[in-house]
Amino acid sequence: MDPFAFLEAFRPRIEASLLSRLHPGIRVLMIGGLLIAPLMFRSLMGELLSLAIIIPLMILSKSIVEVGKLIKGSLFFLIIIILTNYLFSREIGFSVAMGMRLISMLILSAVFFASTDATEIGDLLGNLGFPPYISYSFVMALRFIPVLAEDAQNIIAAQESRGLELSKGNLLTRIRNMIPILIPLVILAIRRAQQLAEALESRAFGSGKRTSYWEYRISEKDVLAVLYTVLSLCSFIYLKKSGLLT
Amino acid sequence: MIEVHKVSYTYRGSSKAALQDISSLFEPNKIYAIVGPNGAGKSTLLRLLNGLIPHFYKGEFKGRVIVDGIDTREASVAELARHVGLVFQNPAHQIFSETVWQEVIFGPKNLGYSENQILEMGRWALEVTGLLLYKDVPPWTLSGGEMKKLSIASVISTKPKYIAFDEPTIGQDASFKASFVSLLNQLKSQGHGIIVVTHDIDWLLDLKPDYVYLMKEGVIIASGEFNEVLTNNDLLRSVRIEPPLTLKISKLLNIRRVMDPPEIAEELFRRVRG
Repeated sequence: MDPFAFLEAFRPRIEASLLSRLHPGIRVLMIGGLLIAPLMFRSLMGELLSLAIIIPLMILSKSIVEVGKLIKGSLFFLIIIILTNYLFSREIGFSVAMGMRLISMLILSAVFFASTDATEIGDLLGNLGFPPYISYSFVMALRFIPVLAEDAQNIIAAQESRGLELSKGNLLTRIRNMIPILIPLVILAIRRAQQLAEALESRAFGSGKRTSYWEYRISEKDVLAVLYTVLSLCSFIYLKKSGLLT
Repeated sequence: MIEVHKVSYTYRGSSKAALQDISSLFEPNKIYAIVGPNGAGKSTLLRLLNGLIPHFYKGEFKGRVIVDGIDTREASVAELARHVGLVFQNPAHQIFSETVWQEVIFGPKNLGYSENQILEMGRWALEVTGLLLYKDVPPWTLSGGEMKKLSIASVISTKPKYIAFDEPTIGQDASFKASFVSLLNQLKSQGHGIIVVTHDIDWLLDLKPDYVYLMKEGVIIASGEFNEVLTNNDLLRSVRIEPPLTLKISKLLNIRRVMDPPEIAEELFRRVRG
């Protein structure tokens, strides 16, 4: 059993898709804007409508498989969220809506990783005036998610080969059994970060103003994406104000 | 014994088979070497032996692997750990304990041995790897070679009948390599079956394994006695392995086995003299 398998969904897997061809700034604006939609409502109908505007993005970014993996990997949290909400509100509709809110967010994050290269985010932050050490930290964090996932897989394989059973025992035992996985993983991550910092510095990173190889232009597709986001959000605000979906 | 019967395996998400119709046999009291270039399927073959494939690495699996009468498909990796120990390439992937001792007894504790047995197994593993002095030391303060020895100690401490090593000599110095040869021979003499995956041919000449499997692109292209397989220059070159100098000289001297450097010197001296 690999409890980190869901991290696969965060592996940058940039396939040529309509969404990956958008200007990175517009793409971030679109995904960020549509992320507001599921947060606006507390009703089942509102969350269903949010999903309806988010699902086309999943199809356009060709990330259906990744979304499936992510939802499967997050099933435990999903159940916890629904149960906790039901425990406090005693409303099944509201509790399910909160679960659907998480699903919408998972879909959007998978869409983001399936359509966005880490370099684009770095360039975007650079263009917005962020210093390179901040934009690069962000880029590296994204780049190293799949590396960490692979490390986690190797660590689990090594510990299971020594008789560790991750899928046996009660919840407390299972949590305790994660210690032999998490400690090497954290140590490896810290060591890798240190090596990376040394490699960057030895290649003159941070010595002055950096230039960018890529140039991004706004196209018709970007205008359509902005229109889709603005129109969706405006209709949602109208529906919320009119009290139709509460 | 471990019997691998016509196994083919393709990793999930890959279109190319990592192993194609592989059959092999591993017995106790012997040292086996699996040799081949990167991507030949050597490490995949190792993962078959302790059940990581098909239990942990999901993919398309055909054929069967029988470890001392147990079909690996029907036993968990933890159950198979009693029979087959697997030492991974990177020690950092398994070390997590506060002290060397805690790390070494992790396996025996997982397998439910008694306190006395754990004490005996841990001590034995540290003794044979030469780490007994470091018993109470935090693992992260050890050198690269010592860390590697610790990863070996923490696997052999469960006293599995078969011990498999994935590229054990990578990044290690000559002194580690020499001591590792004696360790493997010692384990062999104690009845363990040793399986080593490597492309370090020079080191293999020191080890002199009993049997060699030569792999390329997921297929075993040759197998046989050490001198039979590793003296075939063409075969080695076909798997992109440069024959070692001692082998080239042995060939030039028309000797059908790999000679050690002292033997070569002796032979040359003998021929010059007469």
